[in-house]
Amino acid sequence: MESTLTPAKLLAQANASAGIAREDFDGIVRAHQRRIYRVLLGIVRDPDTADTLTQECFLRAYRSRHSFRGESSVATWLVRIAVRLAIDHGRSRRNRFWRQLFGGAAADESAAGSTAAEELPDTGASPERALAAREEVAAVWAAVDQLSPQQRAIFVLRFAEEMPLEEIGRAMQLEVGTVKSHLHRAVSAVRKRLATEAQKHKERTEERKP
Amino acid sequence: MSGHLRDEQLTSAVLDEGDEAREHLETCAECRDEAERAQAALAGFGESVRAEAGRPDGFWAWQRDAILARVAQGTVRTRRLAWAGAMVLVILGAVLLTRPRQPAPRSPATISEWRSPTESLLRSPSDDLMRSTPRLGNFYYELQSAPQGARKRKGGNNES
Repeated sequence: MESTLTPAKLLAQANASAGIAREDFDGIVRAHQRRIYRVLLGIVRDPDTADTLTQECFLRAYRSRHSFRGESSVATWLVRIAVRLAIDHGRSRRNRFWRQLFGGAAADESAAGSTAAEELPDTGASPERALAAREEVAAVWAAVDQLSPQQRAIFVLRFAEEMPLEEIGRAMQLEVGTVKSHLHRAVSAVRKRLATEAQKHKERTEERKP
Repeated sequence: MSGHLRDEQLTSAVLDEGDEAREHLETCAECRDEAERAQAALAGFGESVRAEAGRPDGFWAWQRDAILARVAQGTVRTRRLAWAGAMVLVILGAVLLTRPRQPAPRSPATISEWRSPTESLLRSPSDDLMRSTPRLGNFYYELQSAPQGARKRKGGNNES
């Protein structure tokens, strides 16, 4: 959903009165906060971090509203800020240090993947099929965790936000060809992981047979 | 196309790209199953992200308030900084305008040439000795033209 209030309009109103600008900014936050939180959660995989980065995203947007030229939509502009924040967060050495220090990064990721997979809505499939679907989604999450922050962001924008490649390119400030290339690599990695998981599943099923 | 799709062709099929891969899927059940399975897993991933990001309305209201509070806090801080900056400039300007004016510092050469006004009143005793013209009441020494053994003469109240 697009807001009719553009940051450029906000700027004009901010010159007249800071109070009105704040009220209008409230409208922008209201319209986009769910999407921004979702994008960030898909990339950083932690609800608290996603919340913190969502707040930071809107704060940065407010501070840099002067630089918005209206070349893209407000949503794309906000997604761009959010993705940059998430990538910076992922690159943070301190973050990596603490994750490594407390160990079990892989275990945490696997557990988070399972938790996310459990969030799947009930589709009325058989218990076996539902379990298999959950395992497959967990495998996708595990594969996504191994991607670079940029590839992960592209993957989330494509498959969680269902954004067209052109819009992803605008949000990430990349050529469409580059977006496609990243997406190919990401999907290849996911398919490999799915194949490994399928093999494991097959072996487990055969072991259970008398 | 003989056999099955290559790895990258299958990835293109999953992403719904490439006519050749699409055509192959119509005739090959094995490749179609694999592509559909991967597509289902990707769709499941998207659903799981959306489901996990679903939060109660209270969360969104709280988050919005937190964002607006931080925006307001930032605005107030910016204004305070602007005021503080303006006040510093005003104070600096006032100090510069009201401070007493001092003479410009002289260069070392000028200082060495400068002499105290009282210095001109000081007289060297040799001034009297070097004087060549006799004056009343003062000693007179004839230095230049005095021959060997010339006697000292007294000008004015001379004592003989």
